[in-house]
Amino acid sequence: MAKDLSQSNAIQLTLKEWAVVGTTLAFMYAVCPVLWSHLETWQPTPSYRIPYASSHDYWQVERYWDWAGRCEGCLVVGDSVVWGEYVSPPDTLSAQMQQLTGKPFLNMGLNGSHPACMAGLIQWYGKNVRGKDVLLHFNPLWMSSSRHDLTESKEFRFNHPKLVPQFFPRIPCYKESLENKIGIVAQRFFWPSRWLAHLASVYFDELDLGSWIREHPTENPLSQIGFQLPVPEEEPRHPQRPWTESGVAVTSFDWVVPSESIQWRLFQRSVDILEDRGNRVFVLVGPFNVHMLAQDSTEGYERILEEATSWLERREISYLVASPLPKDCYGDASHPLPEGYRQLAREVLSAMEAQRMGGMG
Amino acid sequence: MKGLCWTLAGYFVMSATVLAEAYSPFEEQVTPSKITMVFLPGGTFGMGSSEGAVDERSHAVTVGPFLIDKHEVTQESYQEFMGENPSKVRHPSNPVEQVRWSDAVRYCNARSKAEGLDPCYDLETWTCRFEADGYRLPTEAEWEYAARAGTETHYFFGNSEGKLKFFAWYKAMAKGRPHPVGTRKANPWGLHDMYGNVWEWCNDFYGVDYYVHSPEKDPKGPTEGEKKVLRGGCWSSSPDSCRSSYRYYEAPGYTDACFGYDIYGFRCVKPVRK
Repeated sequence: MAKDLSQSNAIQLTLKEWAVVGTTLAFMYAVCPVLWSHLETWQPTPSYRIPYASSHDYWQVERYWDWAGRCEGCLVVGDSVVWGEYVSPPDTLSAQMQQLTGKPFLNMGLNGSHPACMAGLIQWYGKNVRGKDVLLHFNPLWMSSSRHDLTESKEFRFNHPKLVPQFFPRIPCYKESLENKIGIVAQRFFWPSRWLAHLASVYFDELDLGSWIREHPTENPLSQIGFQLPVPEEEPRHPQRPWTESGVAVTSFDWVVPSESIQWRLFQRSVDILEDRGNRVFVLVGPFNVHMLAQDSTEGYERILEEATSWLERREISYLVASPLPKDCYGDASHPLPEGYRQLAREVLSAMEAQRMGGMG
Repeated sequence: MKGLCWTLAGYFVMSATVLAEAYSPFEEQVTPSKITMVFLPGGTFGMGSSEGAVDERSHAVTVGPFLIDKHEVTQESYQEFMGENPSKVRHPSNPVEQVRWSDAVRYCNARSKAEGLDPCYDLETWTCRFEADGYRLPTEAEWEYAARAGTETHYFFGNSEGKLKFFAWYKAMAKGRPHPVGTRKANPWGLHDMYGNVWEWCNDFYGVDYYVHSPEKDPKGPTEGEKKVLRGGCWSSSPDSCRSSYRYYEAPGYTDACFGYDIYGFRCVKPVRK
């Protein structure tokens, strides 16, 4: 039996009213992120890098990539080697290249990232980087064991799981529930979800609003929103001492075979996506700290370099396998110290100049 | 005179047993550094699991008595002894994380020295002197004995993971971060966070087949290896990784800053001798 709605408190919308609601929601969906972006103070400097504290704030990361896509200059993309783990912002690779040439090189490094997540970052949040010169760093470190290649079957908590492929290719060590995987995929398409994560990251100690209120029952959550974004840390994250003084020994790495490597496969995907968007890609391989390699693991490392360079040549992609830096220019297996970045910057600029890239030549 | 002799004889008999009986089983002790430890009397237990992974072969093991930290080492404590805090999620009561095995043993030595004890670790060779009276990391067997708390099931509360949320910060409810120590229920022997929060470094090298030929009494792990054992799961672990017998491993000193994950912490033990 049909209910008599005229006696009820329910509101029944007409088709026209539904259209108004839909239009309003669509307008808010399109306009709110723009409005919010204007409210939050943010002025990247030439040596800007994504603050360590914002590494998982993909709303802000996307905003930075959008900004970089509109800027003049070459984008330097990669993991913490590009970000500059052992150096302050003016000593990073991109900053050194900028100082040597006077031309803009933007630090697009993301702390904690690796090729598998970089592919996701470029695919989902770097959509507006088109027609640019991109220096893409490849760090062989991520193929130095099956664990860091993500091919090990034991559960492993790697960094930036929200950026890696959730379903294909299957990542054996990634044991997230189906429900959470679907939520992660949805976040890539639905900005309000990323925006809420951004608010949690910047203003609520990484907690969702409900949890924050439970932990701070007497405080007003609105008073936390100061519209001030974190600024890049000026100090290096680690003491600037060579690896030889840190008690790290020569190490035997269990290199994975490139044809079976997830990290290598997803690095290739990054190159493909960037090229499909009309970017000119220059790949920098290394410089891995070969001084740390034990005798029995040099063969596996060289096999990776051979595979990488032959693939890049087949694809006619410009590249440089960086020369090994002096022993005391490394902070660990893959991160240079300031003098290492100075030497690397000169070598990369020279190679890019030969290819007339990055405003060189 | 006769009375004096009896008194002296009694004194010697007493002194022979007093050290072993200085603590009641599962009694809490506060160290001079104001850190609470729990006395575990030692005994024989079933280590590993017949239903677990290939490296978890079930076998009987006997461990001696020892004191173990009631909580994972906190950032406040690490800061106090080491003068730095490497953790990613900063809070004085949170477990210290992003610590290498080599950092953990440095802490053990610093804590020993602060209390006038003989440090266990040689920081040149990274070997442990088990005869020293200072703090050290638990052997894998000591850790599992402490975690099991006399039980033989997958978890100390049974075989089903249903109650894990009461005892551990793990993936389903940790909201992607570690939490202050001791904020979940303790195990039957009064130890908190044996499951979840941060993985705990053990003293042993990892050997996938070590259980096949390990000694029955006080096993101390393979004599050499590339990786050190971690136990207990962490805030991002699935319930399976939090099982009492689940074994994990990592290189003792990070070869690279990229490998400094925010899931590795530790707790200390101190030997008790008869």
